[in-house]
Amino acid sequence: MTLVLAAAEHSGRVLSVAIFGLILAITLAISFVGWRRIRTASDYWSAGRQISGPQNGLAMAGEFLSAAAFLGVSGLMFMDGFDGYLTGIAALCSFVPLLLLLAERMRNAGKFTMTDVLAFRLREGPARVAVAGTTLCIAAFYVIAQSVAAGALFEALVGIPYWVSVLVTVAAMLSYIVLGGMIATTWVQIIKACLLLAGVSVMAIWILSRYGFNPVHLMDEATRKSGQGNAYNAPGALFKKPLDEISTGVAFVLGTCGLPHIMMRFLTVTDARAARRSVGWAVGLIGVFYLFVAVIGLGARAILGKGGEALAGKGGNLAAPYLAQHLGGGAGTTGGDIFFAIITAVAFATILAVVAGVVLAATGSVAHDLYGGVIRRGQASEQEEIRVARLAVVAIGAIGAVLALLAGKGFNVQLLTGLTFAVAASANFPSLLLTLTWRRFNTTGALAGVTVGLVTAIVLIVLSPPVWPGPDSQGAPFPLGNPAIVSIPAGFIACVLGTVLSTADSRARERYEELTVRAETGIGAEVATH
Amino acid sequence: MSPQNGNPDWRALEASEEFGELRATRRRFVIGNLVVFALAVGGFLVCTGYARDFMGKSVYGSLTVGYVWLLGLTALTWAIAWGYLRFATRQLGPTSDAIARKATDGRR
Repeated sequence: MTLVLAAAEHSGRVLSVAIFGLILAITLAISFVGWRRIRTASDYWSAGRQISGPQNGLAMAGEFLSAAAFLGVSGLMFMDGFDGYLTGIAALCSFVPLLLLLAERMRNAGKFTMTDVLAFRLREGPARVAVAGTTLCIAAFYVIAQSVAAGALFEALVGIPYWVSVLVTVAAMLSYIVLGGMIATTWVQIIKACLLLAGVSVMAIWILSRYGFNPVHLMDEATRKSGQGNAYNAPGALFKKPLDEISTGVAFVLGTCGLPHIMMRFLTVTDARAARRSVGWAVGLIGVFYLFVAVIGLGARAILGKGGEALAGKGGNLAAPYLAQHLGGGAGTTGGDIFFAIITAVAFATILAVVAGVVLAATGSVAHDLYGGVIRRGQASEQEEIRVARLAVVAIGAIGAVLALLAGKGFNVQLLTGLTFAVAASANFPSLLLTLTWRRFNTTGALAGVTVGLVTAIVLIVLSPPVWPGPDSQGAPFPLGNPAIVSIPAGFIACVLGTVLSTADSRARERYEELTVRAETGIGAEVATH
Repeated sequence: MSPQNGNPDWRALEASEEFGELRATRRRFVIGNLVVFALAVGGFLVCTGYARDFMGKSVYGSLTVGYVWLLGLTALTWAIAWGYLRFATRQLGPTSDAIARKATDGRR
């Protein structure tokens, strides 16, 4: 911490670091409590299935509302108005398919990871390897997106070098997971969700109070300051191509249904009823959150004006913290310093918590799916799986740190997250849905779907304008910034073709009956420990 | 993953009338709501791509058709979630509990 303090020069910066240090201390203390409560694998990965619906709803909101949702969406709205809000609301909408199609079934049929549900009917080895692979890819994308935010935030705002903030993020995340597993991760999410919701609501109400609590006045002022006229309130400012706008929207609407760390949350609750209630809570909280974030994004434009653009950075990610500074009284004032410090620290806590959740899911893939399920073929003891998990966290953390250090900083984090959602929706969602609903579905279909979905999404991302090298990405072979509109159908088609073209799999067919009965009724579902 | 204390006969359960009814009830609700949802979201996305002038029309000051539609989608998400929770608690829960009790002699 001394290095960090030395790097922070101004009082506001010291304050930021101090508040962040406090959050860090509290969350680490929770990890130690978690450490003492972990006895079984169910404690480690599923918090003993003791989490209640409302608690899990908060934790799910915490897991879902990343730096992208806060800094990214407010930054996009600041720059491009309407299109920024679209990405947020599309992400909120994703909870409808999640609730109607997957939530309770995941709870009833799953054990520790999302992959368990697939491995139930299908040949275990191939199914686990495939989905573990996509989980690790998704984790890598997520860690990059979140670290870009962490690095940009701390380098620009607090003067801490990028590599230090990456190392602090990874080290803190490691201790939560190695020590406290899902128990600690859940409580870190809950605390972070409360901090984040409190932070954005104070900011939003403060902004609205300047406009007589009339949101339309705020919008009028933001539109005037944007200099874009009515285009600021219409689609097209950010996504020039119509298909680009639609494809990004589709990625957000379906992406949550394939995110391994969100799926894993359903396995921590007491029963199916708690699983669906937790979605209800999450949807309520996240919807309110985006309303507040819209006010913050528009407020940044109305209050900071054109001058804010230089401060907010190329991706617009820093609009919210600078707005907080301005609201508190401006740079150099005590009020400005305090509010700036609080919002920066909350944003950093957000990043930490999300990275912890994602890496925990990746660890589940390595230790439970690959090591326990494939290498040891189900013969590993629970203690052994937990030991491997703890080792895997360290390895994944190290890889994540390297990737984050290599990644660029000019991207808007919400758009990076959109790519993650596209990968999740293309690779995982088709197989997960079909294994729960289609009697004929088999291993070949699942492998084809997962592989084609994953490869299509990643190849198209590499060939797309944001990634393709060269000035202004001229001549990128794939025209859209987000591949979802092509890669999700590709995943589904591959699932169907793979199934239809291969011979019927009698085991998959027989186990379908068991899986659906279990998923719908909860017979034989994993129960809470203690 | 083997169920505790003796396997229920999954095939018979799956083919049973009660289970068929449970699944049909759930399917009706889910498909109905997903159709509404898909029309609202799909229509919205298509309009943002190909009816940008319409989406940019002012309803009241800077509040455009597009923004109103986005707020509507928030409300729709809340409404579907709330409706499903009510439906599941009142109609699915009792039936699925009854099936589970019968199949496992109240053990589960």
